[in-house]
Amino acid sequence: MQSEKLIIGIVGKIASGKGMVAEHIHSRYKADFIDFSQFLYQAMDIFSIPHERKNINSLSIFLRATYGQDVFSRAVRKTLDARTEERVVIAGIRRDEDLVHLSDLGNFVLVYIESDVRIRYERNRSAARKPGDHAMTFEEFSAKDSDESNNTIEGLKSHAQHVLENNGSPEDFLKGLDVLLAQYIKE
Amino acid sequence: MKKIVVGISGRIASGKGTVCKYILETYHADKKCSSDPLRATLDIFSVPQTRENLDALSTFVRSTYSEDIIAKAMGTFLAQSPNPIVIFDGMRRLVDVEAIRGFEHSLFIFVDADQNIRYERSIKRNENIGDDTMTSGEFFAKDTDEPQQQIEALKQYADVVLHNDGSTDELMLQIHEHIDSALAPFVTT
Repeated sequence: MQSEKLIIGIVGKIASGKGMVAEHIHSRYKADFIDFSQFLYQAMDIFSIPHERKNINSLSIFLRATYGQDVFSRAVRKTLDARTEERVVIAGIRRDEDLVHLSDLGNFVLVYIESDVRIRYERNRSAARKPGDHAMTFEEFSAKDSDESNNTIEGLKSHAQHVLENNGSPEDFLKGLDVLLAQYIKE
Repeated sequence: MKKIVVGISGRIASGKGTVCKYILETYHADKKCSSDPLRATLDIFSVPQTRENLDALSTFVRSTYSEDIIAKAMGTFLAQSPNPIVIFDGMRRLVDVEAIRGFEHSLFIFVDADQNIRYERSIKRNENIGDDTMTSGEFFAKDTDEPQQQIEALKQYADVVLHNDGSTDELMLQIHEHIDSALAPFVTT
C-alpha cells in the first residue's frame, strides 16, 4: 500500500550535511534515493544543456513560473508512485511548494539539518564539490546561501517533524540520526 | 547496422501524412517529430501536453539556450532509434535539415502541391477545428505566414520533390519510383 511506504525528506542549507544524511539512510537502511534536482538534470540532458548553475537556475525558474511552483513536487510524486521500495529518502527539498505532493502521504517525515554558517562555509570550502568552492570567500558563500535557490530553505524548518543539529563530528551526528530514525524503522 | 534518416517536409495539406504513413507501414519505420523532445520533458513533470504548454517550452529553450536546440535534440532522438529507417516528420526549419544531414545516410523528401488544391484538401479533411469553414482568403493568409515561408524555403535542399497535384495513385507512382529505390538498401531481412 502506498501509505505504508516510509518517506524521509531531508532539508538543510548548503553544506549542512544533507548529502551525508541521505547517503547514510540509503546505505544503512536500504532506502531508495530521489533528489529534487535529478528531474532538472533529466530535462537538461534531453536538450544536451550543460549542467551549469546559470542554466539550472534559468530552467528551474521557467518551469516553476510556467507550469506551477509545485512542478518539481509533481515529478517527485510521480517517481515515488512508480517505486516499490519500502523506504525512500528524498533530498534537495528547497521550498514550501516542494512539499505539496508529499505531505499528504501517510508516512512522510521531514528532517531539517541545522548547522552553523561558519562551519558550513569551512565544510563547503574543503569539500569543494563545485568549481570555485575552494576559493570562495565567506562573503561570497553568504551571498550564495541567501540567493533565489537557497533563501527559502530555512522557512521549511517550521514544517519539519525533526530538527537535527550538525555542528560536531559526523559520527555523533549520524548516531543521533539513527536514534531518531529508530522510531520509524524497526530493523 | 546501416541506418537512414528520412526527413519529410511540405506545406499545409500537401500530402506529408500520406507519404509518412506509407513509409511507416511498408518499411516498419520509426517516426520522430520536433515535439517529441518537448513532450518527453513535460512528461518528467506530469505537465499536460497541450499546444500551449509545448509552445511555451519550445520558445523558452530556443530563446534561452540556442535557436537550434530542439533540432539538435531531435538529432539525438533520431540517433537513439534502434530502427534502420527513422522518419523526421514535419521538418520546418533549416536547422532541421542540418540535423538529418548530420547522419551518414539521409533522404529529404519535400511534398509539393498547388495552393488551390491544398486549400480544397484542407477543407475536406478538416484536421483542426474550423478548417472546414475556412475561406480561401483565410487559408492563403495562414499558408503564407512566416513558418510556412520557412518550410517553402526548404524545398531547394530536398533530395526528392514529390508533386502531389493529382490522385493518390499518381503520388504512389512517384513514391515507388523515388523512395522505394532509396530505402531498399536499408531493409533488413
